[in-house]
Amino acid sequence: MSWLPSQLFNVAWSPFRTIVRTVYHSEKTRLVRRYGYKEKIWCGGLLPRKEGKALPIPEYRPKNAWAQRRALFGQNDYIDILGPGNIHPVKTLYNVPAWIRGVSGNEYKILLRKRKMLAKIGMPSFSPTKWKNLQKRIAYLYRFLNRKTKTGMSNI
Amino acid sequence: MTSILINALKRLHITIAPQIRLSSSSVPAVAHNYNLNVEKKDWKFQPQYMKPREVWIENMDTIDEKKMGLIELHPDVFAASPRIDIIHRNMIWQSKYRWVSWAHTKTRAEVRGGGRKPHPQKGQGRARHGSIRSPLYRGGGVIHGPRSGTTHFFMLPFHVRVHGLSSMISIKLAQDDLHVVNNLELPTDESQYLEDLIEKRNWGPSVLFVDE
Repeated sequence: MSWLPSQLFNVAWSPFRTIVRTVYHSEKTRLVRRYGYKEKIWCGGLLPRKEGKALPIPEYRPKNAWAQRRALFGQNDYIDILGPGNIHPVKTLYNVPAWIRGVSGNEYKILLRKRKMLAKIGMPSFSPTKWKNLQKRIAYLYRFLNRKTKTGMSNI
Repeated sequence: MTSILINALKRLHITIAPQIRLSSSSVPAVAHNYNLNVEKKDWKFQPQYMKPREVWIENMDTIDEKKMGLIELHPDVFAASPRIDIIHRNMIWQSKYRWVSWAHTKTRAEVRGGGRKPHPQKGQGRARHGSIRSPLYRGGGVIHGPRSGTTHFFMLPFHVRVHGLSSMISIKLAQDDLHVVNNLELPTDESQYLEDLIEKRNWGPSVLFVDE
């Protein structure tokens, strides 16, 4: 009988209209105060110097093009073609958490997988706050994605 | 075709010089006695449309190069028409599929605090707020910010990757950056020997040695 309240809810409730997002977090800047024209007092050129010492310039530190990480980049990417054939490149993602290895998806799918995998190792007992936040985030995303957004175009 | 590629790369001792080698115009005046033993291979898949490419086999024993013979290479692997767009797709795939973005912002539920209503709804003359961690507040949560563990994983189709590999290796052969050596046994253990060898033969700033 736990379905009855949710069914009543679905019957009685009608969805809000949500505006499609056009402002993204990565493009936001700090709050602009005193918006307007700012006069450029310094128009470029040599910087003023005190007598004797030159101004501090950061030391040029070129990137080590042959560091381990850069020299061996993409070393095992074609291991399923050029290797014995039983290894998939996904198996070489050693430094990636287990629930992310070889999966592509939006945040909701990744979190569901994370919850499924971390419940087995006992996350609710050794990290209760993070577990609670995970549950809250999944519940919020369920409601947001299913009631306020549309899914993409279907392949049919 | 893929097995040809695999077998070709497995059986040969190949050195690949990623930079373009300067073409030495000074042809040796001394007549070398080449034993032109072209290793005729019994191919599993006979080259049907193109002739097999022939490459010199060089040696690693001396700093100067000596040509030991010729070897045939399958055209489907080493003389494929180079597809730069497929190589580009492969490079993008290689750089993206392993990357996980760890940028993370806290939402209003995750920011510490903000459970209590800061001031009564009416009567204060202030704007109405429910929590001090709402996105309107300084120090409040971010709404649609980056979330930790964003994957960019995808797999290119198998044959696109194979096509990329064969294009790349054909380009290397066509630009004289591919050298086949008989074996990788060096006379000395010093690293200076290899550096002098590469310097003398103009194999380029970086060399990849491939063996079985």
